[in-house]
Amino acid sequence: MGVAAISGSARADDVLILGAVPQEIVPLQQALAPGAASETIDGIPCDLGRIGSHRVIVALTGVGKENSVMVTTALLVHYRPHFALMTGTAARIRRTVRTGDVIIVRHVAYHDVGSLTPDGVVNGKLDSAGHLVGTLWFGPDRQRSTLYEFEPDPGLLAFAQAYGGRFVPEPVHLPGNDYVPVVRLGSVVTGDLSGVTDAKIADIRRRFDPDLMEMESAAFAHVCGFFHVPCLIIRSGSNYAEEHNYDDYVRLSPIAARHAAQFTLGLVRALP
Amino acid sequence: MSQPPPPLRRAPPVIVPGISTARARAPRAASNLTLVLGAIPHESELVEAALGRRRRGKLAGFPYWAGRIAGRRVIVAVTGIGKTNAAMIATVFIEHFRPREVIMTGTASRINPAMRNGDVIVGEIACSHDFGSLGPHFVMDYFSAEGPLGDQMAILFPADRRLLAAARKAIRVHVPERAVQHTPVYTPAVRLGRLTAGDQFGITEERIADIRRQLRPDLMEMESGSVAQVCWYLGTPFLCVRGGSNRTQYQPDDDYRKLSSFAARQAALFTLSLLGQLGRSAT
Repeated sequence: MGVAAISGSARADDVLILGAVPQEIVPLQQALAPGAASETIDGIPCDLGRIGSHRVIVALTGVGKENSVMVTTALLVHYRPHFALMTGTAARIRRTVRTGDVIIVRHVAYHDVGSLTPDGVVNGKLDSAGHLVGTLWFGPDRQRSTLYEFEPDPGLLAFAQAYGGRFVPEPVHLPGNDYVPVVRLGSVVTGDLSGVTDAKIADIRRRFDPDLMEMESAAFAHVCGFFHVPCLIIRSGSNYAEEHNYDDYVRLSPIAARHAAQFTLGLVRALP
Repeated sequence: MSQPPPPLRRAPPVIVPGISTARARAPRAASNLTLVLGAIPHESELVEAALGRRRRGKLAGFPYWAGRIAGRRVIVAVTGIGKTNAAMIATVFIEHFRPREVIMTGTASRINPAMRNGDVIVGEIACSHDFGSLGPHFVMDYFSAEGPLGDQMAILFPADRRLLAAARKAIRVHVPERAVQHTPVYTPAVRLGRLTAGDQFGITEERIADIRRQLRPDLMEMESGSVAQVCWYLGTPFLCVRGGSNRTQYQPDDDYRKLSSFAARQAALFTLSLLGQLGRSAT
């Protein structure tokens, strides 16, 4: 059997764009037409076409860590893209972030990985005296590696920040509240929780002070790191993070999905 | 643009009312080999040592061993700890090798108080207990989110029936080691049961109580639910074998260090018995 290599090589112009649910990728799918094609990679539907000077692959991950990991892994292995982007909505943790505000993610962390203690989540393991005994865990390379926090490709981040300075978002119209969203750098946390209690939000704020919370980006960045594919995450604020989030998510997430996707689309068009 | 979910030919079984269960899926075309995964090296080392005509390989930078057990081609790889590592390695190795089945072996914390160190559970059910919406008193609302195929995701993943049947046969002939390091000495049991997994090494009493109440698991660990989910989407039969290590708690590391080696060994020994059974039943 010997040494097996993953087939295929990185194509300099390929960009992989992932969203978790359909509304997050619709503007990108529309931008692929005309001339778009579809194919299925190991059961995962992918749309291919050109945006700007790039061949683009658009696909859905589904919600949560495993789905994000499985689709990111399968498509990175198959397409070997030059860049990978994730776009979508996120619950607002910082009160000053408004629906539709676009966050170019400079830092993403898992909020639910580690040990759950009466004082919240800690990164690592506790011994019987309550001491933290190591925050580095075994990775698949049989070495101890950190699992918790990730940063995007610095070049992509700088390019997106510069592009954000000249991007003009669509105005948001909410009852009694019309405004033009902002685009800025920020931080997000990821975990497998949709609704969260006030105590959990307080724990997340204390540990990370993030702008937004969602369910896929850290896992996406984690996998991109293993495959050495430069990545960037774009998320737009939807509902506030809360326990009973469903109604506000249904009302506000289409706005957020659209703003994140429009910024991502403009960014890919502008990429050299 | 996503595909509609495949038609439901047979309703999935209700295992826990209100919590969605994955329906049975026909396996996709596969090579005649078995992929064995451990989360950390000491969980799979006995299986590695049992490989005949053993060769070392690397896939996408990740090391593995290839060889034969009971006449069957076997690949052994280590996933690393936690959901992301487990789902990623499962995806990479399943996509490349197209195994006929995936067997995971390793340790787990004992969330069922009747479990002893080294007792082995063959997972009839795998699930992720940390996916959902968190409510007051750390009660989880397990909901079916959108999956990658435009489907509604399941929370509970039943093990493959053919693999469970092989495990039942293996249980009849398997001889566990005696737990001579414990007083009184006992012989660990191997039985079918329920596994649950999440990204937390230790968890609090409130979460333990909610997980026990809703999911009724025997053992808890950090990878099986994720590998089960990936295997389901990739049409690959899956079974997880785990040995009981420390009691489930939020600061388990001392007990984990003391008890995990024996637990890992009992799970791996049963996994070898299972591989022997699969080798005999292979066509």
